[in-house]
Amino acid sequence: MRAPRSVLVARNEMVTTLARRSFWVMALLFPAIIIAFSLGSQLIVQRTTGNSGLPEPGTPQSTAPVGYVDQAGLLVEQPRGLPAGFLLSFPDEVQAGEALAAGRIARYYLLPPGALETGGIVRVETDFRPLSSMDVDSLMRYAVAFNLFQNQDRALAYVEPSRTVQLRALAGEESSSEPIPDQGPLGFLVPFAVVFIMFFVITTTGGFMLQSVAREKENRTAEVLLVSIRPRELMLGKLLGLTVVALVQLAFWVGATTLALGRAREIFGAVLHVQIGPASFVWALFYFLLGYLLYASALGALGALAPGSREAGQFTMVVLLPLLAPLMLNAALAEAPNGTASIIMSLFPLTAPVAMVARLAVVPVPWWQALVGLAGLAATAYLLVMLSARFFRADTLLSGAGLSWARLRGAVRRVPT
Amino acid sequence: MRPAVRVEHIAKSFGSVRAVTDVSFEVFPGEIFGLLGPNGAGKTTSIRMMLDIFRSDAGCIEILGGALDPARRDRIGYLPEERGLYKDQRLEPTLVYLAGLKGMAERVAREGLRGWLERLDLWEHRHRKIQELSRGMQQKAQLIAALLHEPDLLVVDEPFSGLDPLNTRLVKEIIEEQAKAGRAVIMSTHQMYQVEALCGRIALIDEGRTVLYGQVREIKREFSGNALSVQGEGDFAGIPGVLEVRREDDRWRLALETGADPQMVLRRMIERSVVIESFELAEPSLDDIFVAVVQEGQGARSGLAQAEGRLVAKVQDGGQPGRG
Repeated sequence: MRAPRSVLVARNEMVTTLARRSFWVMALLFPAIIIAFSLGSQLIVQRTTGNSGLPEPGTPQSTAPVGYVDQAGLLVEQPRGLPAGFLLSFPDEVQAGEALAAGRIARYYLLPPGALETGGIVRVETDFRPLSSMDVDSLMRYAVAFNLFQNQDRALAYVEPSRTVQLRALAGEESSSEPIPDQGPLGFLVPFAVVFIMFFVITTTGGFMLQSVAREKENRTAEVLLVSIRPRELMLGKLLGLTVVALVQLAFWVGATTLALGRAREIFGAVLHVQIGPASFVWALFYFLLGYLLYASALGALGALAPGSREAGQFTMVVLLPLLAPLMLNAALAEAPNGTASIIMSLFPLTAPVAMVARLAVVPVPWWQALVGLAGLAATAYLLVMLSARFFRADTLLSGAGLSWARLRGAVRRVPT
Repeated sequence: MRPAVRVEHIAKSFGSVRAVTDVSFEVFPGEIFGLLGPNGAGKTTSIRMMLDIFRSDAGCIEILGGALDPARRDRIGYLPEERGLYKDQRLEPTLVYLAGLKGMAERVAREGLRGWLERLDLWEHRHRKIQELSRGMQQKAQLIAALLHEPDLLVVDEPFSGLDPLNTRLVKEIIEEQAKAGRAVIMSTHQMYQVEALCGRIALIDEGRTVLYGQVREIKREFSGNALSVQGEGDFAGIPGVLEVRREDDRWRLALETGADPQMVLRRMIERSVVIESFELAEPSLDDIFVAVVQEGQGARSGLAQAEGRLVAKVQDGGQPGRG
């Protein structure tokens, strides 16, 4: 039994796109850049900071211990919450110096007599590390505060007074009662990475659809195809084939970004809170597929109407404009993923593929919101595919007429035949 | 015999532009049918309607015994005038893909492809990208795409353009073979000598209408007396009744307007002091007939337009139509 024509078109699109060097450059070059960037920055940070500051209570020790010489008598008790053997006491600077020289400790602190009154503590390291003052001293601040307060929570509050900040808008109650875990100064990374990946994978793979249609027009292959296949079968086949291509590209980008985020967590000691569990992953996948379908069909219609890819390129930005909104309003998604702006963007069908997935990655999203957003997106994608099918007609595919708003309007109004 | 193609009074408009007004013809299995006409006459639009690329606004089309459903679509081979294959793809997989869209299994397509590639000197180039092939090679590759699935109806639009004499001869042979094998072939071309050599019947389309239709032999007989072969010296071009003058070896060939009297044309030549060594009626070539019919049509339209212009001018001047 012969395969349906759409399946043959899908297979051809998939094979030819995956065989193209430009696809692999796009699929691999960007992940290579972000991995190189993250590894490079890791090296730089390690060279300049040595190790991190205050480890999260309960986290396993992954860095070299830190020593101290307490001449002020401040550190009577080892502070709780630190990994065992992480903070080592030395009776004098000679022994501490020997341990540092032998590499048994990353650095040591000298608390001179009267340190509490003067506030002067000395940090001794082997190399000059200009960036090491970023947060490494928080460890010693915590150790001193713990001994002063004799209380772990108060000591942590002293070191970081605003560990959890919850936004309460005067205009109304926040939709989520759950506190948003603070992700530190690098907390914007996860939503930004998600927004970035979703935006670029949808736009590049949607762009493949445009290129594919425009190429058939430019090559004048369309007429040969239209004797064998209906324009809509052709469109469906292209959408199907390029869906596989989109998933391959997504896999590469997500893999590289996950790796890079893991590195970032190691480098900066940041508690990058990533929410992607199996359920969120499935939601995200549906959002991506529908988002791809929506924009690919719109770009395909553009390719069908335009006389060539160059002319279509002039209108591409107009089609992709809504998808840019979450990229530009990324701060809102990072700072208040359950805030009003984020919710609106994640429910509005044209921005939902990016905004909702960014939210799903960092906070628990109420299931009804995920469902409403998906239903709206599915309905819009369906309407847009149907609308785009109107543009996939022999007379548009064989036409070399220029693209204009008047022509677009005419094509939208035309009754399909 | 039941026709492989039956086209009756089809019409097509694009917006306010009337591309085809009234075209009709039939094509039978085993014949090579010529579809002729000047540029912009409506040939390609008629072919596209016939192949269901465009829907006709009016009329009736039957292909291979009925409406063009997917099964019948698979039995058509088409070489369009505007050639096109995927330039950045390799030759062999492209042809196999196009045969697949015609319902051929991949294995069968690959088996059949070898013979065609070898016959058309493309076997060595099967792994090359199409954009790396010469124009003539691309033309032959496209012909293979139209033939590989062994269609019952072959439509070829300008099949010889871009080919050298050797390949022209080869393509001609292939077209003749297809007809001998019982397939219906529709050939659209401006090369009238190829039509005379290959086609038994023709339809001439002008301004979206079938203006001439039938056996080439009968059409020529009908138009005999519409061409003169003259040996001599002088200006033959401005003689009333003469549509076109061209040199053929040491003689002049004059295409006459339909209905023009050859004796009257002779008298006009003598009046103009043209030196005549020999004067004889010639069997018109299809080229002569084409020129005669199309130019007459243009003349008639131009005359009509002038008459309409005069009428409009008179009405605008407050004059009465029909006077003066």
